[in-house]
Amino acid sequence: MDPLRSYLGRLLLEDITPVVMVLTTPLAEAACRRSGLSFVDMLSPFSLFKKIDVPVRTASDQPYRLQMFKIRMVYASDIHKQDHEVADERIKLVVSEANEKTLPDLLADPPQLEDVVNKPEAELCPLWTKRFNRELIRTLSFSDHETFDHPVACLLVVSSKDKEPISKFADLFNTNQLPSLLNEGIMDPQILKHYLVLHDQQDGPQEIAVNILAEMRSTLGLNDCKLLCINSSAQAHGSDADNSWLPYKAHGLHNHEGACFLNTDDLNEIKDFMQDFASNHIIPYMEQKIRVLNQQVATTRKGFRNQIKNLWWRKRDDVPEAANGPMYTFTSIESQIRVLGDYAFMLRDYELALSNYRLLSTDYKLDKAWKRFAGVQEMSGLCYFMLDQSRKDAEYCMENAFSTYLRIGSSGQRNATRCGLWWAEMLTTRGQHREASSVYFRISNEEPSLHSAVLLEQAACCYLLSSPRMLRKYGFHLILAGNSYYLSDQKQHAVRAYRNALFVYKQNPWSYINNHVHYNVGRWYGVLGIFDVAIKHLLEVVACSHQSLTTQSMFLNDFFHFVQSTGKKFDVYKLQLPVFNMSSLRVVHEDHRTYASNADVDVSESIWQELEEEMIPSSSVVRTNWLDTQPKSSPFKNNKASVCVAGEAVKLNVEVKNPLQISVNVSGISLICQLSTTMDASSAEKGTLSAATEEDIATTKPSILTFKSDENNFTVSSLDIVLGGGETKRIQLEVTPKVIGILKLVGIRWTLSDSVVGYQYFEVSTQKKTKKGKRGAHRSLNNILIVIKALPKLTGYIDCLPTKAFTGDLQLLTLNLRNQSEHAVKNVKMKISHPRFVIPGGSSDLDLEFPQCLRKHVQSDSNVVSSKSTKEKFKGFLFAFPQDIKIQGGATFSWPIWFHAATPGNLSLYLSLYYEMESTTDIPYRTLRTHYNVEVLPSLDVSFAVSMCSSRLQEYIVRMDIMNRTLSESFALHQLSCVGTKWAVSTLPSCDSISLVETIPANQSVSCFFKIKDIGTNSCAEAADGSCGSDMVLSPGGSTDVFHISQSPIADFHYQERYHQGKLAKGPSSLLDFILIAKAVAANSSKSEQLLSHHTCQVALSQNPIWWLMEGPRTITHDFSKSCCEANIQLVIHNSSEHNISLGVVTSDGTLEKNQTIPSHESASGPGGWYDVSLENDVKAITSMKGTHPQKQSSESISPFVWCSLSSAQVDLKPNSSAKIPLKVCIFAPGTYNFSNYELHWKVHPSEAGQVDDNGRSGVGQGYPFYVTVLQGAR
Amino acid sequence: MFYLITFLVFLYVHDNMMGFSCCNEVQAGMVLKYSCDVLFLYSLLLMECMMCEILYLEKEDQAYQHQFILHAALDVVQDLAWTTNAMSLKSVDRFNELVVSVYVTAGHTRFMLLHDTRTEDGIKSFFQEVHELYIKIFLNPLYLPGSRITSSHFDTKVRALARKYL
Repeated sequence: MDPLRSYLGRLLLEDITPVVMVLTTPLAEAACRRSGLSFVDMLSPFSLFKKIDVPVRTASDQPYRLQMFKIRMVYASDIHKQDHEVADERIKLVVSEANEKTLPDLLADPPQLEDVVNKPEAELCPLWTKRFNRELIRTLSFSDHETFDHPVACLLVVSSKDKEPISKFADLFNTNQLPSLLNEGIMDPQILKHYLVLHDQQDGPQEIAVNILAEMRSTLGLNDCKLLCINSSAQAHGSDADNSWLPYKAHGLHNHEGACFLNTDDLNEIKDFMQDFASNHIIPYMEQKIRVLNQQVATTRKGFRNQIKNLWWRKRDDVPEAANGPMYTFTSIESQIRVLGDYAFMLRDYELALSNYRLLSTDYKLDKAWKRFAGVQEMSGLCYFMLDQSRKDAEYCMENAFSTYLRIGSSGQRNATRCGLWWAEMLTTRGQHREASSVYFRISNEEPSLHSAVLLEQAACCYLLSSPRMLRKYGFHLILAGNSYYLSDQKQHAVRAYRNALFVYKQNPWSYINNHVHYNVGRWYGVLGIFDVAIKHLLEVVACSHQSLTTQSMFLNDFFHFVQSTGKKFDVYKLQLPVFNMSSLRVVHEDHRTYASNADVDVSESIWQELEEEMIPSSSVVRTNWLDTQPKSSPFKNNKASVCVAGEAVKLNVEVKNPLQISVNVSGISLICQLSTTMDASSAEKGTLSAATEEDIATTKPSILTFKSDENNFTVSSLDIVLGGGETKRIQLEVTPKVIGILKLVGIRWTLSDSVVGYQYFEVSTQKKTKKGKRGAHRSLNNILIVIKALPKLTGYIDCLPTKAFTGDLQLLTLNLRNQSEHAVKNVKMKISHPRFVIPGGSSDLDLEFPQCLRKHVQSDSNVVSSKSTKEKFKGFLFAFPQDIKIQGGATFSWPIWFHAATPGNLSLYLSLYYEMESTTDIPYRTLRTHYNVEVLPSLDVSFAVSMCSSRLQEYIVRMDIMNRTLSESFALHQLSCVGTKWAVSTLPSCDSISLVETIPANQSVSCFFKIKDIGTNSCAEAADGSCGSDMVLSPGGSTDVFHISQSPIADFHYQERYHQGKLAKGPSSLLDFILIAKAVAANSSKSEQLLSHHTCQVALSQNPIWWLMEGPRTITHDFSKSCCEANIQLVIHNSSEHNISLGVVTSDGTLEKNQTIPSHESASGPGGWYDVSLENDVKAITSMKGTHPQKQSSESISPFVWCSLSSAQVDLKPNSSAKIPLKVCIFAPGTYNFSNYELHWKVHPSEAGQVDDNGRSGVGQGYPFYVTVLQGAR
Repeated sequence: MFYLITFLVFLYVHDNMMGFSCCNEVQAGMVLKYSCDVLFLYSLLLMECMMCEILYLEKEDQAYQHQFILHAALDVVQDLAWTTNAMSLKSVDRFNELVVSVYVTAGHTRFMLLHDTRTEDGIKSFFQEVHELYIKIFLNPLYLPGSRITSSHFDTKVRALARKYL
């Protein structure tokens, strides 16, 4: 790129130009004022010559042509170093002027990435920043270390009205009025002078002026005097004048107000004058000066000799280092070189300028005149740039100048800024935007905040221009700029800068950045009074959970402050505070299904459906029924919609979360609803069909005005809550429709801290429902409800159902039902999910006193449980209330319920109540669903072990192990019962004192032994006296305290227990059920008596169908000297089964292994033999009798006794009959013998009556030990 | 002393006419690392995912400033990452007294450290150890690449490393 065409090039061509000092008399100035202009203003439009086309010849012989040229016209009074404060004021003016222009911009949307990228380069940075830069550079005009601002020529202007104009000229160029530069000897006072007579045409004819001009020419010189006539136009605002000014308006003639008497001729005259002045006076003068100075420099400084001399001279003259270096007057060679360089620069002979600057820089360096050195370096940098030669050198020079300026401290600061600006422009021209931006950033650090803000903004723009675009840097520097703007009280600019950066930080995870940006933008908009935008931005930060408490409260306070400043309640769509968790949304509406409490709603529908399966009529039938009765069936066919009942609240559960650490006050949370009454079916149809489109409108154009609560049609509940920091609450909102129609739940609205109204619409995606199938449909929100006519409704609960209970706890509770409507309901049925735990009682139970009602003193004969009736109700207990029960409108109804905590664990108990309407309605029936959670704690573990009693027929020994599993509770044993009439339980004869173990403390266990007896077959005498009934009282209370176990509810519960436990233990053995009733030992007597019943079912008994028993003398005295002893014993065999049994007794002598299964023959002809038993043997036998019986047997080869005279091997036994088989044993020696080596083999012959399973068909029984002691009798 | 460490991953999203197709960031990173001369880098839109952010100095008034500095430094990293084979990019950017050091893994996850001292070796070894920790996190099959690292163990480990090296 041609450097002359670049921005910096043009800037330099316009700024580094010859200065013409203007001196005017007051009268001349007054003539110009008539047109509303100063003299300089009048001439300055014509001081720029775009095509001057003058040949120039400087030091070299080769002339070149100058195309564009500009001279700067400055009043002599303005030629001085500018006051900093005045200059800053001017710069501030530039910035604030731009301020007003940005205001409409701020109301528009912030720019997006595409906008910024597509913008032309020039527009990226606001245009006024260029002006700002120039103003900033201009503050350094007329500095003493540079000469390009020193006047080249002097224009002296005298009005034709002035008296003695010639002497006036002399007065004007009086030293007193001249600028200090000339007076102090910094610059040469011998400059080109040009004299001008200004004639106002309205003051009189031109002749006077011509005369004066002639006089001037004679005294001051022929060529240097001119006459200029102005204000030729007779009347103000000549039409031609306006047009003729037009091209020059751009050049700063904006203050063109009031009358203007200049006409086209005047302007042309001015133009000609300026052209002449520039081309015939200034340029030739400069040329000549350059040549003279060059000659001078060449003689003193050029050549080897001069250089050596110069070095030597400088070294000797070791000047002390001053702040500005040594003072150089205009006569010094250094100043002359500088003037030469600057003139060459202005005439665009950059080669010449550069060589002089280079020459000068070494001198200044040696003199340690750093400021001048930096200035020269700066200029040589610009020369390099204009020559477009070595980029490296240019940059090196600029950097050198920049750092030197910075080094000399505050006096060079602004110079550094100027140098930086030029440097940055230079880099920008070459496309090195990144370096440029870093330069801008560096100079921004040196400037006051306002300047630095503008510079930072330019730095940001450079980042945007750099390739690749550095958007993040752009954003960051804009934010920095905005911050500086804010510090220098330029809020609009601050907002603009932040706003432009917004798109960089859009949707990024840097939370602190986002908060900072939005908060500040919002706050500043608020300060500017643009509240709606302010609130929009603050909304972004209101719900910041990661910030600290103080920051959060600051955000929130500012937000509320601005909201209150608007003076109205602010509606915010999708306000983030508090956060409504839309996925947790759930609509609870009651059609035919009603719920007792809110918790019941959360139970999965499938559980209810399974429970109610048998109870309710099949749904398809119902649907056709009430569809047929419905005249307007069209809306109901739409299966998307659900049904709710007029007058009954539709509830909506939703989670609310406060993301902040501050507690917020949320009031008036309510639903936004719409209810369209279905007076005509078509409108209803339309209502449902257009739901989707309405939704779209609602979300795109959120306005809640259309959804005002309609008090006639429905009422909505309003909820006020205070959410603590980080708290999540589940709230329930209600809407109660009052009329029939279609109710649509549109959204939620709430008020935050009484000032901000937030609202949010439910997003219902119908596509999702159809696509995702079953699961999607289940989860999607059903927000369109069809309201039907009011129906009767039951509410109900179980009174004091415990939430915690010990295992076995038995209680009588009441189910309370209430009909809230006016109509009666009938045909009430109930289904219970766990009949093991809860059983409905009979109508009579209601008045009973628990637990006395269970006691046996009421001798009812109906102790046989009607087990048949409950047989099919294991899974879900369907209980139909008596048909005559009708619950009238407004009436309450109670029903007894038995509760029994069967097993430990957590239990979810589901209860569903079905009822039908008395009158015909849309829905013929409804169900009331209740759900309870009961925690059952372990209390007593009861286990039973039953073994056959070997000494008695049909008796068993029972061991009961009880373990108290609780931690603190003690239980008193009260009663043990055997279920059924067949069994009698009694204490063991040896220990009657079982009642000693009346309480079991915590963590203790107890074992007790009992005897049970089969009394079903042979009704023995003991059964009659009642001492061994099926119940046994364990407590000392006596038999009157016995609970009736065969009565409801214990029997019912027992039946359930049997079913459940029976599932686990299934076998062919005959089974026995025990019920242990215990009482909790209450620590204080005030507590009502707590009863625990433990059911242990199906305890396995021995499965033998036959019982046998040895009977015979235990001690025999016999004289063995005579013969062997014959002992007569008999085997009593009882058949307890219902079948005929044939059995045989097999005896065996000697060593009979237990598992030996070979049946030996009859032992009648057994060899036997004599056996001599010594006394020692005898003793031995007795001592070892205790436990070594098998060993003894095995050690001996021959048994000391033999079986003889077995009368019959085979016996046939009828059911429930006994037989006695006599046996005889021959004993050969005294001693104690165990006659257990026999076996019983039986075989069951099934009768027609019943079937016997295969395992019980035949069997083998080992003999029981039967000890007989035989003593040696006296002879 | 250090001020802020962030872990960033870039999901490269092709901005083609068909719409957005998001690819696995590891794969994308690899493809680009080895054939960056073929692909036009700047035609890709970058989507940042901040995975972890560990504030060391709990000065909240400066937290946003630190974030700004790190965020702006990403622009520099963006260019620098392709010019070298080394993972540790040393100090890439600075703002007044604060220096940003960056470590780029093969999968193009960037670890950025904002600090004011210049112990190059310490920072380098710190980054290497953090990289190992990060790989452990990455190996966790339940960790979704690019999602935020919520492990408190990771946080304490990184802090311990920072105490050790910085």
